[in-house]
Amino acid sequence: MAYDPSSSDPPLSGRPEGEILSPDRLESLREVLELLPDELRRCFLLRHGRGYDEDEIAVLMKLPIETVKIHLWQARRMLGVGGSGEVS
Amino acid sequence: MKRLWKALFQRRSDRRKNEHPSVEMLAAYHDDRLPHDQDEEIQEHFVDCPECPEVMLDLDRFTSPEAAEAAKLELSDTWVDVAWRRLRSRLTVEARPARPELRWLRSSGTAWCLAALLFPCTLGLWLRVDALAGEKRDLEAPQLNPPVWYVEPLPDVRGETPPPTEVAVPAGARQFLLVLSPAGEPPLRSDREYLLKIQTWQGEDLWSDRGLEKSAEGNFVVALYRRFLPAGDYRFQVIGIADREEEPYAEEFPLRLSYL
Repeated sequence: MAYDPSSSDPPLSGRPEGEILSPDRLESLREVLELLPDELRRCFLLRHGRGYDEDEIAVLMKLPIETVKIHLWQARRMLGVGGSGEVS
Repeated sequence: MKRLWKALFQRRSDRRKNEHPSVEMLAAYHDDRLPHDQDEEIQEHFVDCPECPEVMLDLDRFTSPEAAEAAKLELSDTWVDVAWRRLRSRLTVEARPARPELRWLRSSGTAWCLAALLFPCTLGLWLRVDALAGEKRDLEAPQLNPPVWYVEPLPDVRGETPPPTEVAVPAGARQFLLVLSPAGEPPLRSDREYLLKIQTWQGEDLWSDRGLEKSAEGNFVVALYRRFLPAGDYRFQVIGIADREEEPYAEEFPLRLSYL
């Protein structure tokens, strides 16, 4: 039986948005994001698009936490985005 | 925002965007039981879907070692409860009297009977102790002008038994004095102490003690409490404790004791 997410409230409503990028910034990064390796891109979008922390991303991506940190650091460096999501 | 996501992930098909993986599939993904390409699909879905990552995180928290430990603790609590219940039931069984013939002791009627028997015994004992305590207080109190009797010794007359000295203790006297007056001067000069021996008229020893001393008047004084001797005839013997070379001294004082 398939999981039906419509039966529950949206679970992301309570997540902190301090490091979530605005839609305009994500739009500006679209072309560059497509050039990133899949793992880096997913980690970056889960961090700065969804607001998950590094531990949660490690669970979702089944990666070690250190690997997630490195992926995020590499993606930010390649995109020119700061740790808190600011575009340099 | 929707437009942005569509632009970012337009390479994914509409079917993948709208179809969520089942919980079983998420569990299989969590347990590394899916092929690599399905892993990739689910990870891509996590980026796109706001709900499935939350399900996945809940699943991970549920299967984490901490959650398993908590479940184990709850299980152990359950086992502890079961053990306690068994122990309590065992104690209840062991608390029963082992012998069936003693079960009557546990009935309430037996308890009432025992209480009814013990109550008068306790009350009587308490009254007796109270009376004795009062008597002790009376005996310890000083008594003024106790009655005094001068008792003469048995005369040394062969074949003739004189009547004993009558001592009738009045009702109010808790104690009385007997002054045993020797017939003559005891022959001993080195006597330091004398022995007083109380006998029944038939010669049975009742009481004796050393330490009796002769007064300045040459008498022996004995104080008796009222209840020390019952009414009757007695012989009070005074025996001198002397050296071996000296002739022993003994004198007998008969008296008839009565209480008024």
